[in-house]
Amino acid sequence: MKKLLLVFLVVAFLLPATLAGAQTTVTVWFGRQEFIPADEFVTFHAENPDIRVEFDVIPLEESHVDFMRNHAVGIAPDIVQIFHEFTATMVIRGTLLDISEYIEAWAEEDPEDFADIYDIAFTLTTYEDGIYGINIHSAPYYMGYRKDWLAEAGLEEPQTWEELLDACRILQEEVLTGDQFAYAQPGGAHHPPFWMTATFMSMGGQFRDTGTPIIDSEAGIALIEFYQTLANEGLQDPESHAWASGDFRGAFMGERAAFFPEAINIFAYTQDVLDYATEWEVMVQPPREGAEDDFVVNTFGWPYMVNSDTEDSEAVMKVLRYLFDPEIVSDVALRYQPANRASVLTSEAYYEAHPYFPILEEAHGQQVPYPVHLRSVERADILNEMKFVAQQVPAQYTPEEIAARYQDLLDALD
Amino acid sequence: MKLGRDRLYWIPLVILVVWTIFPLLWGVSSSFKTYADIYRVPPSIIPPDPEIRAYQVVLTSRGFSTYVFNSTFLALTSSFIAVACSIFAAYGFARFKFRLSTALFLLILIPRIIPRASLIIPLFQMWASVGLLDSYPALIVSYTATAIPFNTMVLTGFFRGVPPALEDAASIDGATLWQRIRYIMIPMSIPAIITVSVMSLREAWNEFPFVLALTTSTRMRTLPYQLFMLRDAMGIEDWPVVLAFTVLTIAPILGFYIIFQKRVTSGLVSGAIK
Repeated sequence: MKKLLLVFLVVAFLLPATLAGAQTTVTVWFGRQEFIPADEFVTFHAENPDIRVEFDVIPLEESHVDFMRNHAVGIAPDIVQIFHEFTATMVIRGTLLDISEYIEAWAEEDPEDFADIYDIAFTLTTYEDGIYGINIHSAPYYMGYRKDWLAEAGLEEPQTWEELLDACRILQEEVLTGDQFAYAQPGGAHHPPFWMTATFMSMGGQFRDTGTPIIDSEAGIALIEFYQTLANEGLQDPESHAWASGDFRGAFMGERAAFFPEAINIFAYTQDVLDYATEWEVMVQPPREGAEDDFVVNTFGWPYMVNSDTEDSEAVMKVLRYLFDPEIVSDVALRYQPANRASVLTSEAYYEAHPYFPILEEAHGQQVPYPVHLRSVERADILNEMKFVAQQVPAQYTPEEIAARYQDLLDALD
Repeated sequence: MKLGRDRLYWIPLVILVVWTIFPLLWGVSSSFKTYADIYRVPPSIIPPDPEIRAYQVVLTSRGFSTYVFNSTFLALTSSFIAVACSIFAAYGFARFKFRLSTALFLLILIPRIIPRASLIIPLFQMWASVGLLDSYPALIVSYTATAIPFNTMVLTGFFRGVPPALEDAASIDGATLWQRIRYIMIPMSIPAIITVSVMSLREAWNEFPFVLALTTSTRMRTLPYQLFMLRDAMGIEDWPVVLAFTVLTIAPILGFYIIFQKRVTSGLVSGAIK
């Protein structure tokens, strides 16, 4: 009888704990619908019956602000996907959890799996000495160009930005007609200056430790000259100022542009409308002449960050590892953004889905993140305004004057 | 000669109509275009190969019925409450002279002047402190509170135009305050009530900043919020789908507005001149 009572008491104590365990809920905010695993966590729930994943889509453009606002009142999700440039701001505000110890444990527990992951998965989410999330997907801006038009003009793939501009001039003069233009790019009114900073970095642009770009440098002045040339020599559509990302992508796919700086996910759409390898080709954005040693392959990521208030960090790590599982992440990579796993990007399925990837593969392994900044929104506004001024027709200022003026504004942010 | 001068007056009106209608027509037309036709140069107002794909995508998209329900429920509920509250507030301002009544009337209009964005953080903190973020009550109360000032202003002007003698006569016959409002003031103010109802409904239907700030889950999203979600800088924007969603979002409120257009105009004018 006493034994029976003892068993009853043990069960009575353990049952609520077990039930409570069954109720562990991990909430995830994805930045885009396309990042959600195809099985919507069905497999995860089967493997982890004690964890329930609830997810929603909050656009990347909003997620960091919404997250911090909700964090302030204790209702933020456990995992949030953000534009990586907001990492510093969120860490400084104390909203993110340092998961370094879990990452170290993962590396020890499964070294083979860990070796498959690119360093950028963690370097991009590192701020000072902590790791605050996992960058499962990131992608550099490369360059798509009209191979057939270059061939028609007797041109080879440009190896530097200077050669690219020369090619644009020849194409504009000899091949392109009507509303066709040599170069397509978005204006600055709709988006952060991702495309511009990618070009800046390939030109050898440097950043201060705070993440402020050094515009009054050779690379910065070359960047401004590049935009002045495009605008003043009529190498881009005069309406480019007002273009959103869809407009310049549409210009290339609609056969109205010869070059467009884009990423792998957009190339996937491009091959549906233009014949890859015969009509168009891809290349890594080139270096600037004389600055080949400073050339870097930029990258922008959409990492999953962990809430500092999360109640069950073990469960959160299980969810993150599930999102980074080769099978799960492969599905997203095939249909959307590249994943930072070697086994995924070197698989036959990936090469088949993205036949241009072999050209980009080496560069893809050398991604350098666009530096974070505590005031990244203001940094973006200043850079967009600088680009707008640089594209005035006729040019109102010299590149040096523009660089000096906007460097002052950028430095004032530090 | 007179006819010629009249025609001159028409010119700016025609320009204004074209300026207003053309983007709408362009949007409707583009919603029937193929993805490739959207970026074709030169563009055409008539879709070369019209298709209803975009509408099929929108109507079968996950959550669309939830967004329609949320928009409808929030708009109807908040409009009903706002109009009901406004009727009583307006009656008070129109019929009773009390201390600081003029100052209070001006005070009630202040929320119309304050930019909505500046209310978001205080409202967010307020709803968070009572645990009602991401809920219908938070949105209904917020929508209602922003609709009441305009409604009260319009209804007060209209109520002041209703002869007090009618109410005096009813009072002599024993009508209570509620009966005077119910059987005299409301029936005589139908044009104004329809006006404020339509305006409230339109404002709640189109509301965006509050739903963006005060909700986080898909189940609470409204049509304008989801329209915002369709913008995508990281992929190829499917403009026909965006425009089809826009057309489906504005169609109900546009239809409602067209049906009650004359009453809305007369209600606003009556309130203004009486």
